[in-house]
Parts: sequence; C-alpha cells; structure tokens
Amino acid sequence: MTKVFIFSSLSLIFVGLFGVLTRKNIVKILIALNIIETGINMLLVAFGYIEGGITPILQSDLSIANLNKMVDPVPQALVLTSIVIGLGTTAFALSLAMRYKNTHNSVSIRAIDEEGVNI
Amino acid sequence: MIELLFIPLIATLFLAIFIKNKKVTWPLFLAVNGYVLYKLYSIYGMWSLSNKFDIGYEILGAKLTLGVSNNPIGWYFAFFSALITFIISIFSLGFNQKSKENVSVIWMLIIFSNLGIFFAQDWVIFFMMWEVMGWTSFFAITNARDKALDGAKYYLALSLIGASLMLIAISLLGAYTGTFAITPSIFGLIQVINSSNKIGIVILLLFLTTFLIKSAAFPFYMWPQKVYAEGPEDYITFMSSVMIKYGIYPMAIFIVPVVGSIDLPKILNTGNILQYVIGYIGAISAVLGTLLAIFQTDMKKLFAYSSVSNMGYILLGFASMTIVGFEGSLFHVVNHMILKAAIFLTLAAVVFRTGESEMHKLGGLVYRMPLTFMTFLLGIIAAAGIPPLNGFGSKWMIIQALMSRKMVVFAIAMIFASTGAFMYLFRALASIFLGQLPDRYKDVKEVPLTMALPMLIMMVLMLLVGVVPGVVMKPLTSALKAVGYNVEVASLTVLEGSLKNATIDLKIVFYMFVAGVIISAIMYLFGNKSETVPQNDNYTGGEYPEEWGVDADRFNYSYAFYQPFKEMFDPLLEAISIDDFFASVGRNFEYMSNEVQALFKRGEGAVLLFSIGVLLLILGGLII
Amino acid sequence: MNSIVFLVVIPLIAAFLSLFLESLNKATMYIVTLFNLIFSLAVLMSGNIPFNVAIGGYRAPFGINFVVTDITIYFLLLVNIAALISITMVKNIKEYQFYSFYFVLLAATNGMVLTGDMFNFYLFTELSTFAIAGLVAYKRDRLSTGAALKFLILSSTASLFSLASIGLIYKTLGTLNFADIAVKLSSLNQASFNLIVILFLSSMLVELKIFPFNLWVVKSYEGSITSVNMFTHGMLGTAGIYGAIRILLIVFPNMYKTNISTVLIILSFMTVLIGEVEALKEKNLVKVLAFSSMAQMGMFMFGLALGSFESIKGALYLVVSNYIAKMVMFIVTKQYSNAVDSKNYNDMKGLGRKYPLLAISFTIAALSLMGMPFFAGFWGKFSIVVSALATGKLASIGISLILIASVVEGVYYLRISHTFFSEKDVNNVNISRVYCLVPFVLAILILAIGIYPSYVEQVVFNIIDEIKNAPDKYINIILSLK
Repeated sequence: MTKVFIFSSLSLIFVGLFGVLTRKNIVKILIALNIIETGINMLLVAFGYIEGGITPILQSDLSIANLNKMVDPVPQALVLTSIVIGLGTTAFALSLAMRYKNTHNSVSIRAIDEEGVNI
Repeated sequence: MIELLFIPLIATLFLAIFIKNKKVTWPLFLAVNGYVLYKLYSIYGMWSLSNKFDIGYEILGAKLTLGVSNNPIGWYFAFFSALITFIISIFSLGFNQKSKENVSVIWMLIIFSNLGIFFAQDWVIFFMMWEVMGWTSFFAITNARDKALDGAKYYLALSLIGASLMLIAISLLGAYTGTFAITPSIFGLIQVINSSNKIGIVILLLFLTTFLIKSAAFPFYMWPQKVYAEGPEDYITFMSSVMIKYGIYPMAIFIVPVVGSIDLPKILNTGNILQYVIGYIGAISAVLGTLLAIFQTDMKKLFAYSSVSNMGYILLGFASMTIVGFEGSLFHVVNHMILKAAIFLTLAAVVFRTGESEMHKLGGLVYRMPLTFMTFLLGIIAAAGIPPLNGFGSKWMIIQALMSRKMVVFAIAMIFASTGAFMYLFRALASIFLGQLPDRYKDVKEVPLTMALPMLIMMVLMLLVGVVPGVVMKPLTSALKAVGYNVEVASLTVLEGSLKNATIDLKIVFYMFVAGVIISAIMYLFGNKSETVPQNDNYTGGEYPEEWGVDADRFNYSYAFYQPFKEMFDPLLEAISIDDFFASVGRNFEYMSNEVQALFKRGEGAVLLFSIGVLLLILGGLII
Repeated sequence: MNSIVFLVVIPLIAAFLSLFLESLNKATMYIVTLFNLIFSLAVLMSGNIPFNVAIGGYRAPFGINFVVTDITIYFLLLVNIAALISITMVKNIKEYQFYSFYFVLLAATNGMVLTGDMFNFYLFTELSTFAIAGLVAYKRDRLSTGAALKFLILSSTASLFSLASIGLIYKTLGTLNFADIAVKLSSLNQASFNLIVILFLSSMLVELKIFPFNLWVVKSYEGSITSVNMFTHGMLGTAGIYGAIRILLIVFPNMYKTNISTVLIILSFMTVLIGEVEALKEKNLVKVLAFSSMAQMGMFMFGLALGSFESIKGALYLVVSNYIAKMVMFIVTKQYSNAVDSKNYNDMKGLGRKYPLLAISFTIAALSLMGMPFFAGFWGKFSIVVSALATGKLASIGISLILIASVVEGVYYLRISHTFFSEKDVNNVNISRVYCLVPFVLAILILAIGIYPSYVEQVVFNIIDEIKNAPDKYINIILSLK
C-alpha cells in the first residue's frame, strides 16, 4: 500500500514538473506547481504511513496499548502546514497573474521577453 | 620611518579637502615632496630602521605582521624617485595654472604607495602598495576626462591581471617557503627550486610576469603609448620617468638574486635558461621599442616606445648576471629617470604652449622656446648615449657586461637599438623644434619661470651625472655593499668595466668634448657667416608660387618621416602585434557579455535552468 | 531567554496591525525595526550566549527550538542593521501592503536565523520569498509584476524541492532538528545522503544567487525600488548566507567528502565568471549591481565549497565586505538616479563633482568588492586565494578564473566611478546633503576594516570556532537540554 502511495506521488511530482517546464501559460504553470505540491504532500504522508495503522490519537486504553501501530503524526502536521503555505503562495501568485494580464495583455510567461531592451 | 608613509597620506587628505583651490594644492604638493626628499636624505645609511604593525589578521595559521624597513636598494630607488618627483612638482606648479582638473590628490596617493613599495619588508605589504598604485594610476591617467578612458582602462586591466598573478605567486610562496618576508623568501625560493620542485619555477615566472607588465617589457609593451598619449602631461612625466621603474625594483631585489643562484640547465656555459629568457625579453623590448618609436607621429607615443626600449636595456643588464651589468642596470634606472623626465618636461612645455602633440603639425619652435629646445637637445643626446651626458655610462657598462659573458646576440640587439634611437630622437628634434614655424604658433612664448627652473635643473643634472657619475654610483655601490654584494665603492668620475683595460674616466672624455666644442666654436666664429634664406627658396627653385597660381605654403616634411624603413619592417611588426591580441580579448569579453545577458532577459528559462542545475548536482553527486 | 521569540512575534503582530494603522505605519516600522535591533544587541551584551529556547516547553529533538549561538547573534545583528539602514530609504509610501510585507520579511528573516529546526527553516524561507515577491511587485508596473511572478514561480519550485528533501530526512532519520540530524547523519547511507543534500541545496542556491538558479536576480533588482533591493540584499541575502553556513557546515559537514562540493566549486566560479562578464556591457547601474552581487555570492560560495577553515574565513570577510559595500552602492545609486531621473550611469556624469562624498563612497565600496588592499574585501580574497591554491587542481583553476573575472569587475566599476567624476554641468540637480552621510559612514567602516581587521577577525574567529567545535558549541547545547 505504501509503495502505491509513493509511486503515485512521485508520478504526480514528475507530471507537475513537466507542466512547469513546458507550459507557457502562467495559470497552467501555477496549476502544475500545485500538482507537484500535492505529490510531495502525499509523499510526506506516505512516509509516515504504517500498514494497517490506526489514527495517532491517544483516547483510550486500546490506543495506548497499540502505540506501535499508530501512523506517524509529524508528517501529517507538516503536510497541514505546507498546504497552508501552498495556498497562500498560489493565491498570491494568481493575484500577481491577474495584474500580469493587465500590464502585459497576455498570460504567457514569454511576454517578459520584450522587457529590458531599453534602459 | 613611519612618518615617511604617513605624511603623504595625511597630505592626500588635505589635498582632497582643498581640491578646488589650486593655489593651495600645488604648493602643498611641492612642500610634501620636498619633505619626503629631505627625510629620505636624512635616513641614508640607517639600514636598521623599521616599523611593524600587528593588524590581528591570521593567515596560514600564523599572525600576519606587516612591516616596513629601510633597505639600501629600496633607498636608492626611493631617493632618486623622490628627487625627480620633487623637480617635476616644481614644474607642476606652473603647468597646472590652466588645467581644469586637479590630479594632485591621486598623485600624492601614488607617491605614498611608491614609498611603501620601496620600503616593504614583506610581500603582503608590497602587494598592498602595488595594488594601490594600480587603481590610483587609473584615476590619475583619466583625470576625469573621457578621452583618456580607453588607455586608462587598458592600463588598469593589465595592472589588475599583473596584481592577480602576483597574489597567486605570493600565496604559493607563502605556502611553500613558509614566510612572506622578502629577504628570507629569496633563500626559501632558491631552496624550493633547487630541490627540483616545478612549483618554484612557476612562482618565479608569475612574479616575473607581474614585474614585466609594470615595466612595459616585451609582451606588454603597448600600455605606455596608450597611456602617455592621453594622460595629464606633468603626471605622465612622473609616470614615464619614475613609475615605470617600479617593476625594476622588485626584479633587482628578488628575481636577480634568485635567478643568479638556482641550478638550471645552462646554455653555452654562460647562463641558465631563465637568464636567457629575461635576456631575450629585454632584447626584443629594446629592438621592438626602437622600431616602433621610429614610426610614431605623436611625440608622446614616440617617447613611450623609447621608454620600452630603455626598459629592455635594463633587463639586458640583469640578464648578464654580472655585477657590472647589475650596477649598469641600476645606474641606467636613474639615468633614464633623469633624461626621460627632462624630455617629457619639454614635451609638456610644448603642449602647454601649443596644445599640440602631433609632431608633423609642429615645427620651428627653436626660435620661440630656446630654453625648452636646449633641454630637449641635451635630453636626446643623453638618451642616445653620447658621452658627455648621462646616458652613456650605464649603456657602456651593460654592453661590457654582455660582452664579458659572451652574450653577443644581446649585445648586438642593444647596439642596434641604441643606433636606432638616433633615428627617432633626431626625428623628434627636427619635427618639433627645427624646420618651419607654422603661422598659428607665431605668438608662442617661452614657458614661465616655474616651468623653466626644473628644466634648468634637469640640464645641470644630466651634465653632472654624465661627467661625474660618482654622484649616483657612490650611493649605488655603497647600497649594494650594504646588501652584501662584493663591490668596491665607486670613485667620482671613473667607471669600472668588466673587460680588460675597460676602465674609463669620464673626466677625460668631458675634456675632449669641451675641446671639440671650443674648436667648433672657433670654426663658427672665424668661418663663413651663415645666411638666412627665405624659406620659399628652399623648395620653389627661385620661382614665385603666386605666378603658378598657388599659395606659398610652409612645408614641413615630417609626416611619414621614415616611410622606407616602415615598409621594410612592416611584415615583422604585423607578425608580432600583441596589441591586436589584447584588443581581441577585450572585444570577446564584451561579445560574451551580450550573449549571456540575453539568457537573463528571457522569461521562461528560470525553472528550466533550475532543473538543469539540479540535474548537474545529481550527476555530480551521485554518478561521478 | 524565552523572550527571544519576540524577535519573530512582534513583527508578525505588526504585520497584522499594519492593515489598520494607515498613517502610523511608518512610525511603527521604525519602532519595530529598532526594537529588533536593540533586542538583538541586548542579547549580544547579556553574556548568556549560547542558549537554547524550546518553544512550548517540548525539548529539543521533539519540539521546535530557537538557538542563539555566536553565529546566530552576529547574523541576527547583520539582518536587523540592514533592515534599519534600508528603511531609511523608504519615502512617501502610503500603502499598507508594503509595510505588511516588510514586517513579514523582518519576522521571516529573523526566524530563519534563529530557528533550529529544518521544517521551521523551510517555513521561514518560504515566508521571506513570499514577502520579497510582494515587495518587488510593489511598483505595480510591467517590469516589477513580471519580475515578482518569475521570482515566485522559481522560488516555489525550489521550495518544493526542499520540502521533498525534508520529507526524506524525516523518513530516513526520524528527526528534523538541526543538531539531531547532525548527530544521526553518520548512520545514513551515501546515496540517500547525497539525494537529501542535493535537493536541499538546490533550493538554497536560489537564494544564494548561484548560476543556474539565479535567473530571478536581475529582473527583480531592476524592477523594484531601492529599499526593496536593499531588503533583498541585506536581509534575505544575509539570512540565506546564514542558512548556507549553518546547514552546509554544521548540519551536513559530510558533504565535503562527496562530489557535491566539487560541483559546488564549479558552479560557483561559473557564477563569478558569468556575473562579471555580463556586467561589463551593462549600462543600467542597478543591473550592474545585481550582476555584481551574483558574482560576489559566487565568490562566497567558492570559499564555502572549498571547505577549509581558511577559505571559510575568507568567505566570511567577503560577506562583510559585500554586505556593507552593496548597501553603500544602492544608496548612492538611488540618490544619483533620482537626481538625474535615469538609471544609466552615463547620465550621471558630473554628479561626483557636485556631491563628492557619495561618489567617493561608491568608489570605496567598488574597490572593496574588487578585493583591493586597504579595503575590507582584500582579506577575504587573500584567504580564499591562499587556501584555494593549497586545495587542489580544480580549486586552483577556479581561483584563476575568479581572479580574471575580478579584473573585469575592476574595469567596469572604476569606469563607473570615473563617469561620476567626469565633467558635466549639473547645476540644476539637488541632493540633500544629509543622505550623503550614511553611505560615507559605511564607506569609512569598509576602510577601517581594511586597514585594521582585528575586530572583524575576532568575530570571524568566534564563528570559525563554533564551526570547528560544532559538537560542543552547538549540538550538545541543544540536545543536552533539561
């Protein structure tokens, strides 16, 4: 099961990387970035996953008895934080993209080409 | 000891504050130079003076202390530099009344670095002063004028390259000999080389290249003509006579002792390979400098190449590795300082009055500026090495030394260069001072007193050193003796040669010349009177140009003076045009600059290059 | 010393408050920055260093901790001083966004320096790039929007890499604490170690402006206002340098046994070459500074990648020199370009005659960057050259190329200085003399360090000492906590 997780998250990462490298549309690039991020988040969760594990919450004697079967809670906390960060970045980047559209009349990242010609 | 360095530094600060006020700066400049001269005079013989500074910086696991100390050869260089600088600064007093910019601040900083170089006790402080000289010269040459920028950039690039090489050399020297101090490092380096360690030779060659760059020897002979043509004339006088010797001083104290005492394969049982390398560099500089000087039209460029050729003589003296050659070289250093300063002062005077430095546009100034003419005349006689003046003695010693070591090729090169010197020296004289006076210079006057005085001093100096070489040779020989060379202190007028019966008494030579002058004066007085011919008579064959429908023009045949020679030597000069090479390096850098900038202008490449970088790292880290 | 957290918390609170403060924002900015500076000074003076603060009372390997050691406190001071000098350049800015982003940047850079936890470091880095992107975009024109977006995309990609590396670290070592990682690292196999270091490095090299990762530099410098340039240089750059020192030298010192350090050497001298060569033809002064700061970081990285203590010392000297010199240059550039309303240095002719203090300061800074003796940069260059020549063939070739590049640097910088001093009528130009003072004082500082480096030497010695004795001076302090 973990292997499937890791495999799928790696493929997500590479799909996203492909998107970032080949797309010219800024919105598409941002989407690709989000795909990478999802992949990495999945990877983190997969690292902490235990086959047949239980939720890492200490609530009853049963859960204390099965400490070894708990999945690792740290990666999940990390993932939560990184999701928040990713959200912030994406929102900010999208708002920049909107302004980019206004100033460049295009959402192609190539539109920067024309700049810097005159000094 | 330390005040010798501090006073110029403080003076720099004051000069910078009063930079707008010429009435303050130049007298102050003169006063400080006078002080330096006096101070140097007073520390003669006190070889134990030294100062050490602990700056708390650690390198190679040891605390670095910087030291300056009085040392004989350094004193010899510093004293005569200071003497010439003092005379030039009298000249500057008058010369700078018209000029808009004020070079005195930077110049003072250069004098500071100058003293630091000559009295450095270890390579680190030597290097520090050396670098200061590099960038200050840049500002002094441009002197805030755009037209001088190209030459100054060229000079700056060369001196920065030289300094980088020296930094590498010093680091290696420190690592392999365990010391940065100059004198112990000589013995250290000799040991490193004698234990057949290749790195020793590398260090030596790196140092040598640096010093060759500064002294404008063969592969780097282009910068003087670029720089001298554009810089402020009084500063250029200083540069051509004094600063160009900075490369010679470390050669004399470091390269010569090392090369003289290392075990290397010998050629023809006369000298080792490095000795011949230095010799060939000197010979090529001497010959090439002379050839190029012959073809110049700008008088400052002409004498720039003449400097190159004179540096060649000095290197040839070093290459002989005999004590006479060594003395001759060091003697020639001072001789060249004096005569080049004299010549450049006259050139500065001409530019001051006419604003022109192209020789074919000048002419006939002898009637308007007789004193300048006299100084120039004596200067070129000295430069050509004709006896009663000062250039003779040193050249004679160097040729003697070369012959005694059977380095015939070098001797021939030197004699060829000396003879060739007549061609360009006479040419300069004829073009600038003789011939027809162009109409636009009808009102040119002789220079004012402050500028005439240094020229007079220079004339006296040239004659004095020429007839009584002891005034230079005495301090020189006693300095060499103090360092540990096996020499006799020279007498006042007699020069010792290294061949049999080669001792020469310049007093007798002087009497002979005086006799010659008296005889010719008698012939002049009692012979036929000269007749002043209208200048048109010379070339219209008695016809009146007006009758032919043309105006009477004043011809002055001094453009392309030596065209046949030029055609003769052109293939050679084209073959060894180092200038093109350096220029193409510069151009290639600028071309690359444009190409790589394009990379940063594009928008989408960022992530791509990022990924490439990651790939590189992965390749490097995992696979290799 | 639990109050060290205030260095991060107070700017963050101010970032929220700035939404409502409107005209008081500027005063708040000064107050908060001064607070941070004075607080870090107080910590330096208190004599409690080194100490460790466990946030929330969870002790070191389990919770997040803030560590203050010698390295930390010096870099903390550098960051906060840079902040103070930079905000003096802020004029007539009303928008709360600017102030808000600034406070976030201040918090993030302080946090980057203070933190002792890998993931926390990642968070602060992300936050600071986010803030810088916002600040770059502040001008709202074509250029700055494009630059900000480009920077944001690049740095997000990079930070995802570092997130992956953090995941790997957690998977293999089971810890995220710097000290704990350093201790457990020896049990790691070579391949996973390499992968972790590569992924993490590649994100960090973005901030360090090393060649294939630095395509954002020029545009974002060109597109933003001067104070933001100084933030990028003085705060983000310095914090990035701290990260490099802390993570490469203390957390991953094993890196020097692998080929990664060789690759780093190659990349860094490539950076120097490319940066200097590009600047040669550039006429826009701000872009020249951008290229030159790339080159300087390349030089720093070169010293770091060599890995001997001598070269690290040189690199630290370079950091100090570059830190002060670039600050001077940005201020001078701002004053001059405002005066003539152009960033082309050829239009700035004659300004050096009317305002010589600024031009002299610029020249001193330039000479220091060139590594001229009697200026701060020389000692760095000297140390690096000495140790590079002792290291090996590749390093020797690298240092030769760097020296050639520094010749190019000398040519373009002194040409600019010359332009300032050349003749032109500039009577209608006006610069307040007060602004000449800050760069001049900084330039005097450069000279002082160059002539008498003893004080800096002491600081550098402390830093090197901590790197040398990392187990005693850093790791045990954190792990042997009550």
